[in-house]
Amino acid sequence: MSVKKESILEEQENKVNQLHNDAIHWKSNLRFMQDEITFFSRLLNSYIFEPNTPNLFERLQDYQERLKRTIAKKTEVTLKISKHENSLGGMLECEDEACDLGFYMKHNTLQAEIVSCVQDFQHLKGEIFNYAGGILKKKRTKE
Amino acid sequence: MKTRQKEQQYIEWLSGEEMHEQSTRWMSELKFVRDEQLFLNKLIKSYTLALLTPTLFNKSKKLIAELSKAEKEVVYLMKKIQSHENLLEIMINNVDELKMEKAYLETHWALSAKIEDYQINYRALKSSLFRIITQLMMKNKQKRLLN
Repeated sequence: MSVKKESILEEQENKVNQLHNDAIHWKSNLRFMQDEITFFSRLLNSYIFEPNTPNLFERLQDYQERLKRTIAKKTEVTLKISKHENSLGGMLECEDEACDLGFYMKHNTLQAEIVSCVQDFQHLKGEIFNYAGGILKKKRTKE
Repeated sequence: MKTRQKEQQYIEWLSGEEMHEQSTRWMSELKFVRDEQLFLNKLIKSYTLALLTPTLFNKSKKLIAELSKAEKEVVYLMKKIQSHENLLEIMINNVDELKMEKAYLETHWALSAKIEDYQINYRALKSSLFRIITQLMMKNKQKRLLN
């Protein structure tokens, strides 16, 4: 292999590694997000809230629905990350910037989608904190 | 006599605007963490008696101590970001102050690393708390079904 080709391959490998690391980071964040969703879902299903709160059931039901939608979005995004990761190998064969650009654009679009998914969840969490924090049972018996 | 080797370090240069954007994002993230901590405190209070049972006491005591420490640390980090932001002028005043700009940038990266560390530790703490509370919820549910 010529020196020039070798250096191009090395450069491409670095680029792919960088994108791959981003994907690992995203997947780790989404896994933690799943743990949080599971926890909040269980919490909303537990009998930890003051039962005489007006519209309690409706509100909890609404949060549950939104958590379900978040899970669906998270699953969709996770699948897209896996597909993107699998396609990254093709970037090694890129020989010009136009080819790289296609991968970078796909990467950035995916990143925007992940950020939006995470932000929506943060927003939902904020609402749950505000609502649920105020109606937690004041006195609990020993479990 | 030995020659002292000078260590060379390269740091990524960021513009004032980029640093301001990052600082604003950090602040927003940490403010959210504060809100979350208030909620977690209420949740812990709600489960106080269960957390005091002999089987969980030591574990929960340690965890709550670490969560309190994290609460103090987040305030400290927010203050640090604020004072860092207040010095942003160094980067945008159109005066060539290379040494000061370099120092500002180094502080920025050091702060970035601290915040990242904090977030990783805080996430681990949250996971531990979620595990304990989930255990308690499950126990409670089983009890409810048996009664």
